[in-house]
Amino acid sequence: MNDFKNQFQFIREDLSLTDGERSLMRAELERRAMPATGLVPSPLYFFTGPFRMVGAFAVLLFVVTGGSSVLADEALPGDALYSVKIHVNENVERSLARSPLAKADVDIKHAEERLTEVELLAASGKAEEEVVEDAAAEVEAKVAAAALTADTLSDGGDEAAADSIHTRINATLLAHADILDAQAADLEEETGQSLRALSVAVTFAVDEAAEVRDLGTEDTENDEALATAVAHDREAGAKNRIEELTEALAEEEVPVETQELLATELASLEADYGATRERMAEEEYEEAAEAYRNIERRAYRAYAALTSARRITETTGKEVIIAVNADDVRPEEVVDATATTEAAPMMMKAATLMAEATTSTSTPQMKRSQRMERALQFWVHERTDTE
Amino acid sequence: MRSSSTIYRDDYLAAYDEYADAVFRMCYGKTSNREEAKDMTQEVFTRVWQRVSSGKEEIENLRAFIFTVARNLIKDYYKRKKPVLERDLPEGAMEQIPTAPDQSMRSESALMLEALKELKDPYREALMLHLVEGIPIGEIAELLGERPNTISVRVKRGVEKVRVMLKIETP
Repeated sequence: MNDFKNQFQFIREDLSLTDGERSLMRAELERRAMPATGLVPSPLYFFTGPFRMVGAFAVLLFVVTGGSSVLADEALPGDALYSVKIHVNENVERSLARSPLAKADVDIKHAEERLTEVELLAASGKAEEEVVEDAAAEVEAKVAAAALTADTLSDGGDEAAADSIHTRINATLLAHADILDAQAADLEEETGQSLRALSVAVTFAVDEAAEVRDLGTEDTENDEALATAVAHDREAGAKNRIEELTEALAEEEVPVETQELLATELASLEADYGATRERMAEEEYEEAAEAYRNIERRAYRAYAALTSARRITETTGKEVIIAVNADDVRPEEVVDATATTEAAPMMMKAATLMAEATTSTSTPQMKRSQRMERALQFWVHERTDTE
Repeated sequence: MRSSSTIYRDDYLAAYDEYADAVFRMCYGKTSNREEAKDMTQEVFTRVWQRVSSGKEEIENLRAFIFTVARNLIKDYYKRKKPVLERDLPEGAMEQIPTAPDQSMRSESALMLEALKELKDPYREALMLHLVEGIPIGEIAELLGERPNTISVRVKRGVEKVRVMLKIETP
């Protein structure tokens, strides 16, 4: 008798929505449950407060476009829809993130978006100082929020999740600091200065987050189970980043120089990834974790450079190329090694900057110098030799 | 600060995550048609949101409420099929939902579902909720506003009917 009854369980096991069906349906229901559809007396000040005209426009937009505010997603500071993007879309996105880890991811993504906005504006010479300052404040706040989430997760024993947040903060934001530096070198003094200041602010925010992290992990350093978990988590992170880069490289239409450069980097990343997997097999988890983290950073830098270049091209119509300077270089070598590349003038500026930094005691410059020396760096800049 | 409606919304979406499959199976039990069961599931949750967000009624037990809405929709399935299914869907929305790949359903499940489809609503829902979803009799009684004894009887008779349909001998 019970045997027969148990067979009803088969239905539960065999019959369910597929993941795709479930999430599409969820998206549709979410859309219907948007406050802006008028089903709920809206609690958003946005629709009654000082921005109500924008709010009304947003409602119109929801109606016209069937509820999506995709247009707003692409808005830049100064655009009419920019308020919708940061007050509605991003808040909704954050409130939909269910786990603390997902919320932190959204925070990091939004910090990154502020930086991309500045990069895009800078590319068309429209990066007002005010906008850049606002971006710095926003990035600091969002990175701090993500670091706090990591801290809370770490207190709760979920070290792997905390680690993943920190790796992401580091990989994502420093990639943009590099791009800003490179853009600053191409720009006239005043705008260049404000971009450099933003880059320093980003570096600071990342460092501060890392300090919180260091304080919190002292007594767990030798925990082997943790090292294993962290290594596995970073392996997944590195793999995702490599896949992301592979896909982007296959999809994006990029100048051939960029294509070759990034393909080389990708091949090197894949080789490193393979080598690191061997270390995992030999149970050298701590070393492997560090190596994976580097892979993740490098892959993300390449990816960020690629996508920034694409967005700059889309927005401004200018063709941009990506150049690179190699690992662990001395200032004088930078100039030598890159004298023949298109990036030479900028590299010289970078070299000067590094030379200054090594003789300077000021902390921001020291930090920038360390960062410059540390890793492979990508530079996004406008093509100057167009046919 | 979260306003009351965002609490509703979060709870609602969490409930969707938790019960979408159960509602889908209940609907499938009635129709044996994946696409229709999907449409019905979406309709169930849309209605739930409309009621939740109207703020007119206190909903104490969201799960019970969801199952009640599902039950009513299933009951009305043949009567109101058209207007229910095609109402207020944005153009193209359903086409976007990919159809399931060939489900590797065991023959036991397929036969069982065929039999369930033939049962009257009260029996089928008792079997689906208790034996498939694993909800205890007492809770089902509460969900459906019936006495536990009534539900036990329905489960027992339902199982018998399925057994007869599938020509499975009583041990």
